[in-house]
Amino acid sequence: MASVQIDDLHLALGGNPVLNGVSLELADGECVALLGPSGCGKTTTLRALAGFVRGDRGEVRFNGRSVDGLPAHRRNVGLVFQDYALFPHMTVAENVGYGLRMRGQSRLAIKAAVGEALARVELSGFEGRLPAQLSGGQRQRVALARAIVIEPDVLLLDEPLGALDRKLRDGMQVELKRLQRELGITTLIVTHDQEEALSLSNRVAVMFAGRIAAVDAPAALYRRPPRADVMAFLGRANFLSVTIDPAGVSAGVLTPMGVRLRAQPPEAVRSPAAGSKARLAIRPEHVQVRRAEPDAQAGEFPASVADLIYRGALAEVLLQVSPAGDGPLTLSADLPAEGLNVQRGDAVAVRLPDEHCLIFEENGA
Amino acid sequence: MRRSEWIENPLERLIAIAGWAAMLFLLFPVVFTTVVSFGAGELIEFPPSGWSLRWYAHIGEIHRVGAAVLYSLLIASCAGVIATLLAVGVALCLVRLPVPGKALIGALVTSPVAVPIVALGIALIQFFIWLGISFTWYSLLIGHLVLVIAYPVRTLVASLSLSNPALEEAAASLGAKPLVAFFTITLPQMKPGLISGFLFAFLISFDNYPISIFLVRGALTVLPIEVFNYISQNFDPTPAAFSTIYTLLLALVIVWAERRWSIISLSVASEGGPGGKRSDR
Repeated sequence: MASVQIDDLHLALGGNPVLNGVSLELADGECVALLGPSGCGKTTTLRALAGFVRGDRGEVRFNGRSVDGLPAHRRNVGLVFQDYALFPHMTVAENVGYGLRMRGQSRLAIKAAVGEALARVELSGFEGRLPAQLSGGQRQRVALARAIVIEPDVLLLDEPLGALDRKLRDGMQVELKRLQRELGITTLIVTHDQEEALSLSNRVAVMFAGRIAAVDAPAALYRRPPRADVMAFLGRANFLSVTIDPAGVSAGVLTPMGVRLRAQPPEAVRSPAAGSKARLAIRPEHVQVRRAEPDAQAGEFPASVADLIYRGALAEVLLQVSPAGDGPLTLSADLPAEGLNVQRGDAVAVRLPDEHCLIFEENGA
Repeated sequence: MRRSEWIENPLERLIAIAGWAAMLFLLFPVVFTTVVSFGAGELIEFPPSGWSLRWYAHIGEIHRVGAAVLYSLLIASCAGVIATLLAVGVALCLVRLPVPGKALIGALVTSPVAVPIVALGIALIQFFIWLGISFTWYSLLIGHLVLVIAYPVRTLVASLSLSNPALEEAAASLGAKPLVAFFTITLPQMKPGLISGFLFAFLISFDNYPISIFLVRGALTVLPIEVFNYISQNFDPTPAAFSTIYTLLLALVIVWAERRWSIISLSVASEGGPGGKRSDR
């Protein structure tokens, strides 16, 4: 086991900057998800940890010791590739035992360890199969067993569930989480799937354009993201242009609908200046909609239902708001689909609860 | 697909007929030779007026046939093995390594296939005379190497392009040193290419006349030369008998190799040419 520190890592590939100062720490035994859109440098960060690429600047440390001089085969890192990269000419047992063979272990010790690792991923009895004879989910488990059997200091998972279909994914998600907890290996999961990131990790690091934009526990990051772009990337959000009260944020913000809200910026984020323009964000599940005359005193404003999108347990209601002076804007609200009493074209009253509104600086990313 | 389904489509019927016609056209010389070899007459005749196996017993009458077979086997085996080993390096460089001028290397190595073989033979003999090693068995071998290396390069580039580079990274992450990863992971991936590349090289060399004719003299001889010499002086079916045995052995080897390693599908897969199909990450 090891703690991992990535310190101000810069890397350009073929003249294109890919990593622009990535800094991230993983505590011993912690599971961190590195989440970002494709091309943000998350896989390159993983490859730097594995030792396949080396930063132009910055440092990677395991347990406080720099590993920059260590080639991949001396890092003791367990890696599960996106396409699993099982050795097609070797049986399941030979695949899983490969790392132990490289460590010069005896045949007997390898056999015992392979058996144990396969039992952990519930593949006992598959020792003699070839990868081509396995299903996608089974291959994934073999790749996992092969990575954990060497007792790595760090486990790296590259889009671990990306190639599996929905149902298999949910099952593997539970299993991955159990394995990570049981083994307590420091783990980095690289993914572009936010659900995967939120559900599997102790902490989520969101990465944009070669930099870590935010790191926090999944719930905290979802509820109070420190940046507007992180909020937009992690789930869905409504954004409104608002004006800060001349007396400061604590006195409230003025929305285009004419309603005054007492919204706050997330903790540890600088408040926008008094009287300045700012952005107000609220998640669709927090927008309140009611079929009634709006009560301005209660902070309600009028809107019409532009469309309804049924999503199973929830229905997304698209609300058309026509503020005085400004052009029309659309808000999205998630309402329980059961007992939904609005229809397309209905005039409704909408309220944005203060406690769920977040304020970001206008030009803040 | 049921037969009645596709035969009803006129276009597919036409294609099927064209395919079978081409097959017959290609097979006819083989069938012709085989039939002729069992003829009883003193001269080649088709169809034979009587049947006999005596020309098979007569194969030994081909001048120096024993030495020629041995030389041909030696040259073809050495050319096959050496060309395949060299081709491993070439293919690795073309597919995996960041080497400049890949296209040029690929074109040069495979160019002997495109050059008229007679021109190649003339060039080689002048080169060997200049070096002072003409008419030796190893100059003959070098000539054959130049001719055959294109084939293992092609098949090895194909099998390397088909194998996943992440496999080597996986091996490295599991603790395999680069050389160990090469021998335990990369090389086994190249196995079909190695086998078929060797077979192609061996067969092309074993069968070659136009290069060899420039490079042999006196006691240094190879099978195709002696068979051709025999044909130019005799018109009996002995060469036909010889060819029939040769074709049969060859067919057995190819069928066995195809069953074991699917070599034919691999050489078809390489149609992009060396380094042709490669998805860089």
